Parts: sequence; structure tokens; C-alpha cells
Amino acid sequence: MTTRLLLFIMICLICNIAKAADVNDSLAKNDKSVLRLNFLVSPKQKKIDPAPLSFQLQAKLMRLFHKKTLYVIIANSSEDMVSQVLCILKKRNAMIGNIWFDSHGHFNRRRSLFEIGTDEYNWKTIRDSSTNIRLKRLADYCDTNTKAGIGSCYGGATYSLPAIEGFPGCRMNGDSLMIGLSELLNNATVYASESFVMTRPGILNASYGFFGNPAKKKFRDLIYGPVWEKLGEWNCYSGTKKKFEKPVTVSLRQDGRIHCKPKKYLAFEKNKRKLEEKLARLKKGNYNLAFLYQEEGNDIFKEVYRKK
Amino acid sequence: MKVHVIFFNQSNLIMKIHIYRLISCIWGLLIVLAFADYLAFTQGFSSPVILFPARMDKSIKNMLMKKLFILLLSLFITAESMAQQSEQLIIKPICKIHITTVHGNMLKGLLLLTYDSVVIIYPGKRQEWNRNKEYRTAIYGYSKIKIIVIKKNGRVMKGIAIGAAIGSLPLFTGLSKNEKASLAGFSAITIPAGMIAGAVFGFASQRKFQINASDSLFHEFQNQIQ
Repeated sequence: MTTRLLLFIMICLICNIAKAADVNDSLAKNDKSVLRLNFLVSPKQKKIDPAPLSFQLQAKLMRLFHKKTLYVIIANSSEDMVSQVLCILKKRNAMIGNIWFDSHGHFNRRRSLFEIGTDEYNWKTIRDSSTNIRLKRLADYCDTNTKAGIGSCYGGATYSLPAIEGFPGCRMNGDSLMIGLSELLNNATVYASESFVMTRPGILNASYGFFGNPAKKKFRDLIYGPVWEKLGEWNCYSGTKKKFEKPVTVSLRQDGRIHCKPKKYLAFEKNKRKLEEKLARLKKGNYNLAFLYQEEGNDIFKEVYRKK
Repeated sequence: MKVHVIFFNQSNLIMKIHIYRLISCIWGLLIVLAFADYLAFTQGFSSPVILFPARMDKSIKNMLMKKLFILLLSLFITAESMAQQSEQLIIKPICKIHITTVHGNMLKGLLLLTYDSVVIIYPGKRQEWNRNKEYRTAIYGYSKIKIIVIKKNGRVMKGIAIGAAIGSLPLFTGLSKNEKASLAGFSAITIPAGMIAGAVFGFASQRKFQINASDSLFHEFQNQIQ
């Protein structure tokens, strides 16, 4: 049994190495004189959280095979992240090729966001000079060939959430967040999801690891209707053209490069059928409204209430 | 209905009470000192505390003493009553509550208060309440509520106690010593089994109130809660 298991692991490793060699070992060379590095940024966890843990494990495993180009940054805050990234870039005299921000999305805050450790970036804070000053330090190492990915759920959501029990309907403003991030990173191309972002095994294998839906009951509420309808859609904002391009299907290559898959997630008949079944089963009463009350202490909500 | 934003912060309230208590203690001490001085003055002894200059006219000093005494006493009573009021403001969660609104939405939290037409809910867990997490309280009028489900505190322990009592019944049914000895062995199984069953029942026990946005049904719920 053990020998079989060892044999299986050996085969997996050999396959991975072979693939790594096959994927033209990316010192992603659009501009051949410049060395470009890929960064996967993930938050440092205080409690055990399976989603970032899975991402970090997979990223660290891939780092074993792509030590020259792939760097995994686990940071407490944006300042910590920026200092780590800058240290590597200065040492290697390189530029950022791809940067992926792995984070949780918070639906109860009713806005698109991504977090780097304790710091939250949303459509408002991304333009606030007091909060974006740290991320701005990366701009010198970014250009129009840089690709940035927001790996949080609803990070690029453009829809409006419906009003519910005294809480006004509001727009997620993921597009503003993407534009803000692109401007901050020197007109980089930014990718973000309209819907859920999963961390399944094989996310760094150019597969459909980011796609799917969580199993918890609370997600099967009608309040999540717009999120389900946009399942598997990713938005792309081009900093050079200053416009949104047509939705793409994003995945990550083994060396951390952001890759757009040719076939959509919902182009598979099985996925489409599953989604239709789930959409039909959405009902009220699965989502606890207490989450909305809990998140009400923040500035944006107070502003909304003042306006109303 | 006007909905107010209320934050309940226990630690702030407790600090306020301590401050009021401290103030009332200081006033109390001053009253005792003033009274001692007044007594010493009227009896012709040398005063332990010198509040007024010795050369002051006796009649003026007497009058001032009385007024000061009354003033300090009234301040002491005010400070003490304020401390009492603050104590009344401390709110403890009554039980877990689960509301289904008339629109079919759901809210889970801790029931803090029920007024004549509304329920006030802390939208968090008991651990969060104990950690003084400040959340905006949810206020729901009866006109918005369809169903209320409550789960009382200590229901698991109560279930365990009842289960253990039922499980120990075989001990009291035997007549002869031999029978009792065999039943004691039997109860070694029935008591833990009863406790487990009681805990499960206790955990699952809940009371459901159909409100259906009705005033009278809401008042019925209120009466049963109290």
C-alpha cells in the first residue's frame, strides 16, 4: 500500500516537473531585457481558515518548482507585503509580471473589496491617499505589461444588491475598485471576479480551480441571486486601453502567471445544469440578517444612512 | 416607527457606576467631616476638622454649617440615585432568538428587551456579547414579525438534570437488597443514557410563537417571556 502511495506521489511530482518544463519557463518576457517576477499575496492567518491555508499550501508547493519566478508573500498588512515585495524586486533587479491578491470577500459589507492582512481596499479606500500610499510604492515596478488579480469573492462585482429589511440597495462598485487598482499599479491590467472565487486543489495548474460555489446554506438565499447569476464571470480592465474588455475565464499557471482560459466555466453542460438547479432552489430565509447589522459600524454605511 | 441606533456597551456602564459610587463616597465622607465639625463647634470642643476660620462669628458659622450639611446631603443622595439609574441600564441577553420576518427573511441573535410593540436584538453570539463586541442592535416591530423562536439559556443543563433523574428511577423501584444491587448496576447505564438523551432534547428544545404581525399575539409572546 505504502509503495503504491509513494509511486503515485513520485508520478505526480514527475508530471509536475514535466509540465513546468513544458510551460515555457516564464521569465515572462514581453520585454526581453526586463526580468519579471510573479507574486502570490496571501494574508497571515490568526485562526485556522481552510481557504487561505489551501491557497498558501498550493502556492508554496509550486514555489518548489519555480523558485526563480514565483514568490509567495504571506503578510500581516499591506505595509508588510509591500516591504517584502520591494525587497525581492530590488534584490533581483526585476519588475512585477503578475501579482495575485488572495483574500476573502465580505458580502455582508455590501461592496467589492480585497484585504491584505488587516488592510481593506475597496472602491473608496483605493483612491484614498492615506490608505493607498503603501500600494503606490509598487507602481515603480509595474507597467502596462503587469497583470494584477483580485482573488476575493465579488472583487469585481458590478451589480447592485437588492434592498432588504431596511437596508438600502447598493452597488458593489467592483469596477471602480479595478480601475483604482490599475491606476495605482501604473496602468496594469486587472482581473477580478463577479461571483465566488474558490480555492480548490489545482488552482495553480491552469485549471478551473477558482470556479464553483460554496456549499454553506447561507449562500442559497435570494439575497445572493445576483452573485449566482454571474457565476464564473471575471472582468478584465485594461490600463492601456482604459476600458473594460470582454469577460474572461481566469486561472493561474504553475509559475503564478495569470492565464485566461479559452473555454468558459459555464460552457460545460454539466456546470450549466448544476447552476440552473441551484438558481431554482434559491429561497429567502437562509441568510442571517444579523451579518448586515454586524457590519454596519463602518463609514460607508453611515454615509448611506445619512444620505437616505 | 423611528428606529434608533443603540449601542449597548457593558464596560462603559460599569465604569460609570463606579464613578458615581466614588463621587457618592467622597460626598459621604465630607458629610461625616462636616457633621463632626458642627458637633464639635456646638459642644465647645476643639474641632477635628477645620472647615471655617476660628475667628468667624458664631451665628454665621452655625448658619453656614447647617447649609453646607444640607447641600452635601442632597449631593450624596443625587450621586447615589444616579448610580442606581445606571445599574438599571445594564442589559443582559434573555435568550437566543430567531425571527422570521413577514417578507420571509431570517434574523438570529440574542433577545435583549421586549417593549410593548418591538423586540430589541443583539445581532451576535453570546461569546461576542461577553467580549463586548459593539454591533448595531436590530429593532423589529411586531408588524414586521411573522414567527419568533426562542431558545432559553441553561436548557441543556436542565435537560441533563431531568435525564439523570429519569435514569436513576430504577434505583428507587427495587424492594429487596439483592434487587437493589442488581438495579444499581443497571442504573450505571440508564443514568448516562438519560443524561445524553436529556442533553440532546435540551439542545433541541425551543418555543415557537406565531406572531403574524398581530398585536395581540405579540403581547401574548411578551407575557410568556416575562
